Amino acid sequence: MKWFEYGNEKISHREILVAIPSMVIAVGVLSLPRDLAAATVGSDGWILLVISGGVIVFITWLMARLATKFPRQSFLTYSSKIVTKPVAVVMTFIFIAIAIALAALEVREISDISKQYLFDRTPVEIISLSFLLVVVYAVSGSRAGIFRLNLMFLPIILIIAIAVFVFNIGWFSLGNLLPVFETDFTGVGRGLTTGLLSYMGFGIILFYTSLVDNPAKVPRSAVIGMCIPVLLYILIFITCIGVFGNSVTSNLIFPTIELAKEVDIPGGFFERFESIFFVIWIMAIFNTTVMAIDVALLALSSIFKNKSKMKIVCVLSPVVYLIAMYPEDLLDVSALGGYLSYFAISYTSIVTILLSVIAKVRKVK
Amino acid sequence: MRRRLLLLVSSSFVLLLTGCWDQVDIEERGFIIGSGIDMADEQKKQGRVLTLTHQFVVPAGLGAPMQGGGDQKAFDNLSASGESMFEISRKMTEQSSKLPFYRHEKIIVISNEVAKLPYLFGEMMDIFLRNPEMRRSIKVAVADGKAEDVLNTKPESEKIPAIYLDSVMENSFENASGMEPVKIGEVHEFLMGKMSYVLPRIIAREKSVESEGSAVFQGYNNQMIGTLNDAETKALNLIIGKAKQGIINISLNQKNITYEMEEAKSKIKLDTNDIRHLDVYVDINVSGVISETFGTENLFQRSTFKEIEKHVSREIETKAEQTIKKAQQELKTDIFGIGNMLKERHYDQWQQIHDNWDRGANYFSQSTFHVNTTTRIRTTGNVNKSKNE
Amino acid sequence: MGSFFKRKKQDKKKKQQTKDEDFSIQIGKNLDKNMENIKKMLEQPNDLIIRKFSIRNTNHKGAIVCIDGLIDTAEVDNDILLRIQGVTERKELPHNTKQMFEVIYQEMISVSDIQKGKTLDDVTNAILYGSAVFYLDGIDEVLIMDTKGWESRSIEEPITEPVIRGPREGFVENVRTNMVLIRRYIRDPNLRFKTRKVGRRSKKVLVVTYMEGITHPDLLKEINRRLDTIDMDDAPESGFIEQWIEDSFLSPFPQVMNTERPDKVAMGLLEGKVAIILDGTPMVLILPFNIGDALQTPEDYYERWAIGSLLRALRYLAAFIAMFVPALYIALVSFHQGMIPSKLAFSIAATREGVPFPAFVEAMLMAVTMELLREAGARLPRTIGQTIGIVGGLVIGDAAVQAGIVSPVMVIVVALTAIASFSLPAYSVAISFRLIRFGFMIAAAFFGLYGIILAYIMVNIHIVNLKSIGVPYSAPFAPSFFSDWKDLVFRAPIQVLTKRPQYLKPTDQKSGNKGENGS
Repeated sequence: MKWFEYGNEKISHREILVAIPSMVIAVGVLSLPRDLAAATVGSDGWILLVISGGVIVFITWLMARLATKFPRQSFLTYSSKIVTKPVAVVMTFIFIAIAIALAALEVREISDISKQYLFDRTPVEIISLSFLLVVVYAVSGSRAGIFRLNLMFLPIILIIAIAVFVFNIGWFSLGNLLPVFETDFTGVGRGLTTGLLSYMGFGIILFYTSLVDNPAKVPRSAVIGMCIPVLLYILIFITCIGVFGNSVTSNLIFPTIELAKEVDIPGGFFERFESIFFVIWIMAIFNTTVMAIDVALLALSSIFKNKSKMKIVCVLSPVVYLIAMYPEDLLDVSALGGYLSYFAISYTSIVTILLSVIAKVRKVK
Repeated sequence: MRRRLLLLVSSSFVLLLTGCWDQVDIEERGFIIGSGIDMADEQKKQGRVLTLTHQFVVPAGLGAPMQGGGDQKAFDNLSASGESMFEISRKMTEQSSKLPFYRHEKIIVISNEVAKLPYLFGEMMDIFLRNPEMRRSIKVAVADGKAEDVLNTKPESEKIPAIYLDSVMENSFENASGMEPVKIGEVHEFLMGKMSYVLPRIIAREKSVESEGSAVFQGYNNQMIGTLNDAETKALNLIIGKAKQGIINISLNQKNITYEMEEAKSKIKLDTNDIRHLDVYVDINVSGVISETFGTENLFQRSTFKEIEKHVSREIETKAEQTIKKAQQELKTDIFGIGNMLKERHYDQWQQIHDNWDRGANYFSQSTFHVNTTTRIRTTGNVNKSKNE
Repeated sequence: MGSFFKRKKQDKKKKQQTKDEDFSIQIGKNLDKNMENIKKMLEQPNDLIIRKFSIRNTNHKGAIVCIDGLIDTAEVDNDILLRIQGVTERKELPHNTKQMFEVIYQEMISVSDIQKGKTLDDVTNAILYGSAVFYLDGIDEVLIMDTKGWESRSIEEPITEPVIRGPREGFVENVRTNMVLIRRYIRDPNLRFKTRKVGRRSKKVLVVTYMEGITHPDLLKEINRRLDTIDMDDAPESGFIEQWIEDSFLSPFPQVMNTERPDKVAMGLLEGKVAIILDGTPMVLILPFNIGDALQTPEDYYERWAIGSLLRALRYLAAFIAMFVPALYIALVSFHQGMIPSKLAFSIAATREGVPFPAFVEAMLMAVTMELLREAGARLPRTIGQTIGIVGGLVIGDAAVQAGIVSPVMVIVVALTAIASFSLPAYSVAISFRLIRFGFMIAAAFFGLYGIILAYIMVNIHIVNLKSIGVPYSAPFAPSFFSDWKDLVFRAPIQVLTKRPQYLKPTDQKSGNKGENGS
């Protein structure tokens, strides 16, 4: 039992448990009920969320299993063992690209939503820049610090989400949930995809497992961790449908924030709960962005071993900023988000399955 | 370490350089608390010209604790005319010394005239739903007459008419079995669902505003096609189970008895064997107290209780049936939300008939309503009899 | 951080070089010569007492050297001088000087703390520390007797940390007394006091206190390593030590706790912490320190658990208010007016109608005035201090509002903030919270709530990266030690608190009876 044991860069499986929901819960959930409600009838969306959640939890478990087979090895190291070094490098680079794009997307979305709900005239560029600077400050600190940030913010995020639910019980009308099981097949297909895409971000396990000091426990933690966003999404979706009804939900740009708007704090201490909700949600988005950049960093430093962390950060952050500023309007941003999540989810899943199968066949240890 | 410091310093510099675009101090805001929509007096040949009235709060008139109230008016109504709401709002900014600020908006009043034109109501609501400054809990009401007049009443008890109006509507629902205030968020649901709906109706008197019945809107074109008076609104509330407190007068042996409802529930069952001739079973459950009686019956008797309960039930049923008749025959509009129930519970059948529900072939009018009421008297108050024969 | 300690190590080498030049002249056998040496070294100060005498019945000559005021004169007279001079009852006294010296050492002097010294350095250090030194002619050794007895403050109630329920004793400036105070709380043979000297010139006594078998040895090692690097002329107050050994001098947060209360120290020691006592100051350092400790007082444990928990929760609320309320005021009044309940918004707008400044300037103005008032109140003699309060309250509160410089709501906000920050138990924590508050206010002035949350995230980033002697500053929260949460925001009943704080990795984990039974 060394004194600095927990002050160093090693993390425990518990931190993975927290990191996964922190990574997955971000801007997606703010608009998720809209897309899901548009594709389905009544409250059927929640079933699709459960199914897609189940699929994702399974892939997460597979991923954790794969990563724990190679304790304390970076993704690059073990994937090189499985599928030769050049392929592994290419794969890592694609992950890096996804992570950077994800970070950029989060930065952009946060500025767009802030502009809609908090600001009027402050330019998007400034909002994103200030956010990105805070992110860079976090990334340039220790990696263990990032996990501690997750630990500190996640409870607050979950509490605010549950508060939104609790305060909305008064407006909830069960009739809105009806009818059930009326969605047609195209709707189910679209809904399932939407559900699947909303869980983007769990790929961090492939990278972070190398830092865990007791990898054997990672698969279990990862699965539990992944269940948190699944449950949260279902809760938020059902609340949205119950409060607004299907047709309204599918026409609100950010149903989850509008949900917070409905809230009337008893006692009238302050009004406009949605501002508070969104401001707290910034923490969730912050966590995601930080981890996305940090994973990119981790992967980059596994390729370029002798470059210092700060140098990579200095190169990476302007890139993120430029990508974030690239889309011109709301539709561009949501299209980028769509493509990115589509690509990220399918790529991550395929890589996981492929690597697991090849490792099994070739008996790599 | 040094590099991190540098980063910190440079980031704080960026923050300092940015300035504050959105900083507007509270006293520079023009708080809009209520809005009214009227048809403009002068109409163009093409298109409709509307008049939008915003009620601005004048905080100084409210009487700050330190300065003492004074005789200043606490509100200021500004009106402007134009074709689109947004255009009018911009025009209004030119009149006002302060920046219009909608986040404290409480109520939107639509004039009769506007409501009676097809589609117009739905079109008017767009800006109130779209603008992120608006909250979804703004109340919507239809004025019997001009909306501007409603916003111009000078109540004795409140300094701002819109706040007064807000509490009148709240109170009439809570304590006088009036119409439940409708929020703009619910209006959004109505507009999206294409279901018919009712909105509260208000009438401006000289020094007060009265909540008076409700206005019935046809769902597919959002046109106001009629009104329900107070009694009909009460019955409507009873049928859909939204009634709160209220009184029902009956007479027993030619003497008045006032029954005070404390709780009312309703259950609606649909029999969809023949979707074109629907059977609707309405089960109303009422419990309350006897709050006044002119007669001298011995109330402390099972048979008297039963008798009174029967009378109350019959009274409720009669009223309910009258209202149903009005809705089916006169208005031909589904004010009870039966269509919505069909959609929720019998989705497939609903899909077949939803275009002919309360328009076209109007299956709503052809359905049969069976109202059944159960009444319970909880207590008779402090005394059994107050006088002897 | 690494470079910071590297620098210290280099300094340490220099220190050793200077030490070689120190006075370490051997004591000679000639008494007069020795006396000359001492006088020369101290340049004949007029408080130096040299009492030469001869031992009765013999021709041995001796001398006692000490400094007036540092010694207990009665003790020197009765226990040393009288014993040596008045040996009438003894007939046989050895003529051999060496034997004579031994007899004096062994039999005559009745002082409990007596040592032999050989160098002039020993002698000067001893007399400057309040010892009396006995010279015997013809012997190149001296006897150093502890006869300290200077005027010192008596034990009083700690001024900076008063309690309603709990012991009223506070530390004093004397390190011995302070050690006694701690010993009286922990009568355990494993209580360790390790003494060292700090200050190249002042040679202050510094005592590192810990519980053997509870404190993690690595923690101790790290603290000793850092203490070794100290190189200053003087450490007038334990704050010097604190600033030298803290992990990050850029942080606004204190990383070492200081206290005047022995009960707090004892409690800390039993948790597995280490205390540092410096001579000459009543402020004892306790380390490591973390964010949870910042809002705890021993009183939380003295009161019943529900009350203790309530007080804790209240303190968290106070910390929140002290840090955020002025910033929230700025954000709400100049950015998000929609968040204020309508009627309140109108009345704030009405009261601000005549105020010429934006909310940020208004808030800054009031906050700075408040700080000035506080500072003035702390520096002035207590009798005048009250006047400042009255003047401040009247002028700032009433007149400023009447004159329309600030709005009444602002006065409430500032007053609330001040009250909240004064209700924080540790002064050093309160002051750093107040410092951060200004940062939040600036952030709020630029970006409203968005700025506040970004600033809050930044503070959090800083906290999670900060360490106190290697322990993460955010310790029981993150990394999470769930068993420590019983005693964090809420304090569980005493019976439940059977474990020492896990984040300190104590070598003996159980603290309660239940723990010993293995349940």
